[in-house]
Amino acid sequence: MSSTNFKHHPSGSFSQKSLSSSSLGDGQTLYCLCRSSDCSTFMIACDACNIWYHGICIGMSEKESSKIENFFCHQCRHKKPSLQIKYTKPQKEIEEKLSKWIRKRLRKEAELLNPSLKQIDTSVNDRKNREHSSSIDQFANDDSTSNQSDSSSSSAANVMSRQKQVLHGNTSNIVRSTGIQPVQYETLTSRDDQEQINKYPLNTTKRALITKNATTSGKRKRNMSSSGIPTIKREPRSELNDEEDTKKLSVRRRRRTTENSARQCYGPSCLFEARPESKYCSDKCGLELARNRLLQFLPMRLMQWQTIPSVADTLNKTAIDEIIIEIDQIKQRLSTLDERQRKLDEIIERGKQIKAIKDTDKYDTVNDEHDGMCFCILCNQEISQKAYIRHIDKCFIRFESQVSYGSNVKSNIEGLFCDNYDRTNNLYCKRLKVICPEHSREPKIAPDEACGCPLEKNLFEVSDELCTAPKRLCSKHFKWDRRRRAQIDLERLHELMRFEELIEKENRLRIALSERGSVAGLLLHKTIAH
Amino acid sequence: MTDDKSRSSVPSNTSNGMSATSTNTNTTATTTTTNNTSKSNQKDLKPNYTLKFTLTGHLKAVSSLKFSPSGELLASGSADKTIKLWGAHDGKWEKTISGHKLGISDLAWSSDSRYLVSASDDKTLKIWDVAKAKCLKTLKGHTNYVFCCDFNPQSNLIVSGSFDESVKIWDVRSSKCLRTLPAHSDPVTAVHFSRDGTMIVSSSYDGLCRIWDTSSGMCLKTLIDDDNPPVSFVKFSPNGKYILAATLDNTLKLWDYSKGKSLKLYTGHKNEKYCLFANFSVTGSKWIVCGSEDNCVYLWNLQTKEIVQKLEGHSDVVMCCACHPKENIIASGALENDKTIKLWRSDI
Repeated sequence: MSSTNFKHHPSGSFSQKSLSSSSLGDGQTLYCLCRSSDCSTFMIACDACNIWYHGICIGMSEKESSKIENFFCHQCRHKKPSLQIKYTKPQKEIEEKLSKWIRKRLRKEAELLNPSLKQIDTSVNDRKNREHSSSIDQFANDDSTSNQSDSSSSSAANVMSRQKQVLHGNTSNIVRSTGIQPVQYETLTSRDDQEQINKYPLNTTKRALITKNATTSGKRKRNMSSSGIPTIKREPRSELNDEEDTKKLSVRRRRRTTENSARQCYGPSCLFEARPESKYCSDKCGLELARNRLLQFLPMRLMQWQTIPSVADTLNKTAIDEIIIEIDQIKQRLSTLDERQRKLDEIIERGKQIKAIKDTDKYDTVNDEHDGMCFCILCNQEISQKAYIRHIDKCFIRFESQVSYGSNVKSNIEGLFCDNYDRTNNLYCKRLKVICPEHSREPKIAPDEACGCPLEKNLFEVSDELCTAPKRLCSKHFKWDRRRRAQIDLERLHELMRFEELIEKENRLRIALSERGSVAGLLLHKTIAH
Repeated sequence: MTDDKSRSSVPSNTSNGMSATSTNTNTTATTTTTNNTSKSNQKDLKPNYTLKFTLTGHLKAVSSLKFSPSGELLASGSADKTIKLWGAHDGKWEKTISGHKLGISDLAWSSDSRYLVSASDDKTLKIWDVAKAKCLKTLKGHTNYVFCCDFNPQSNLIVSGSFDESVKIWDVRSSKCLRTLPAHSDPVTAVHFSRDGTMIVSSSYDGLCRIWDTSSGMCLKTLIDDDNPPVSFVKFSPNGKYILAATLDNTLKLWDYSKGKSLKLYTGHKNEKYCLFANFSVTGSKWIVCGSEDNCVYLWNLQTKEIVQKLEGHSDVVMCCACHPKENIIASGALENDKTIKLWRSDI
């Protein structure tokens, strides 16, 4: 009984005629997912487990099956992932051909499901009159995504999706004749929803459609209100032509989504089935296709790019050249600063050799003229002018210690920054090392050490003589060496900061230069010269 | 408007009924003497803008175009929520800046060409660092679409006009709104700082152009004509003495705002629906440049008010146009059907 009722058999599965199916003992053999003994429609058998499936139940048409070499049912594929449905020939990359094929298939389904069509039609017409939106294909889109999982979903689900596709096919026909824009349907992505609907195929279709449409209409209305355009005349510049936009999008989506419903992998010369919810069977296929496409477009665009010389490139190059010149100048200045430091060190060394001369007379006469009382500006104490400079130094240290001045990065330049680690704040002190008021330790001055400060002949010229007053007492040249050192360090710091700025600027220019002819930019934008 | 009086007593131009006397010193025309020597020629001077580049890349309508003050870059804002930067001379794409959540209506450059401010439908303005393509600050406060924005010449303030009928002045550094001016009773369509930054002009669909004092926020003047069609665009002239106003009855008017009188009227284009940008072209001869809803860019002679050139090539409404600050380059951008920016060059 079973074998004679089969209408067509795809060549591959014809050999597997042995009907291993669950026998109920009373002679009735049950097939397919739907567990019925109905053999009137097209069926295909799995080459692994020899179970027959209805074409309708697993979502396969006769024509599609003719392309298949070996078919494996979902369960077998699930158990053994190595088994793949093999097609006879690779997919061609002509999109129109595919969409034509899809449309033919849809028409076939429509013929198959003719009786159920009439009921659904009316509901669709009602919907049309209520709403205006132009993406038929969003519907098809979502349809096909649900289609992807059809091999694993219930048979009823597939009946459902089939019906919807039919619907879609018909609505488009009707629309063209009446000129009304087709209705937009919401996504049916969740399988659970679908299965719920599928329990009562026809009645709930209507209801499901209604509810889905309600949500979309709600969404659409919300969109309209948020755009809040008062009158036709007064349109904000950016809220332009929403409907036309969706129309164009829909054309694009239709192309894309009808591809989704294809089952053969889209990779070049690939014979395998595509993954669910994907166009490709593997990453490799996808990458291959992308590569082919790039090779098609990229050389042309590159040529276009190169024909017009880029003004920005030349500007950047000149800017980079200028920066390089400036960096050279900075390096020169840094070396002069190093030279100055060396000289200073020499003088200090010389000073250390000299013995202090305790010339109290000399000492006193210098300071006699200026011995008055004044007030410290920081702590407001009354201090004699003789002791002023020493006092203010101590005051300053006291005040500065109250403020911390650091960062959490340790500098990699030796000797410039204090870099004293503060555990409480996790900061490295960023003051100049030589005169950091908080952390620098006062070196012990020996009692006979001379001041060593180079004396001035006239106001501007420096003589070779050094101050011979004892360092501990000399208040004219109080801490002169640290001050001089600090000056040099400060200038050095300025140069280094400028250097960093220039380096950063140069980097940015170089990046801009390199990114200018980037692949993404080339593919997305086009400049046509006339 | 006082016309230029010729120093050489050429009596050829008597069209405005002004006779030139040789002793008249010319205060306004310290420009080249070629402008004054043959006034009859000036009438016949026409620009020869030709299409040089077409820039594609935007995914939706181009809503605003501005050249950078340095003259190197062209910034385009679009309904696709992005700002694209292009080279001004070769039309090559430089960068795309994105971050807004809804389409962009207007753009403005700071005077040092380092920063851009963009006004968007997501009710915010964003300040961008152009070199890093990063958003530095977001100015929030408007309660409806922000439609227009401008930097002041010192670039420490930003003025913005919105559909919530107010004009706000923001401080750039702190990104705080310094002042909200209850400017109009309908959406504000354009705001512009004067050359010295002391005055702001704003226009609205209620048919009024108002001039405000920046520091105090007081309304200094309201310009009103016999009829009051919605004003779709307004800006100060480069010398700060006049105001160019576009109204949705296909006209452009040049006002002397101190007198409150309209001096020139430019017609011939189509402008009934969109807020099209208009510009003064001052790099060569003096033109008024404006887009049109019949897909062309119109150029008028500033003095004689006649159409000197019509640039065709776009396939949709030419929403925005910009004039290069130093060279005779015009950029025009069109709406949804077209989505391209076209660069035109001329000799004069």
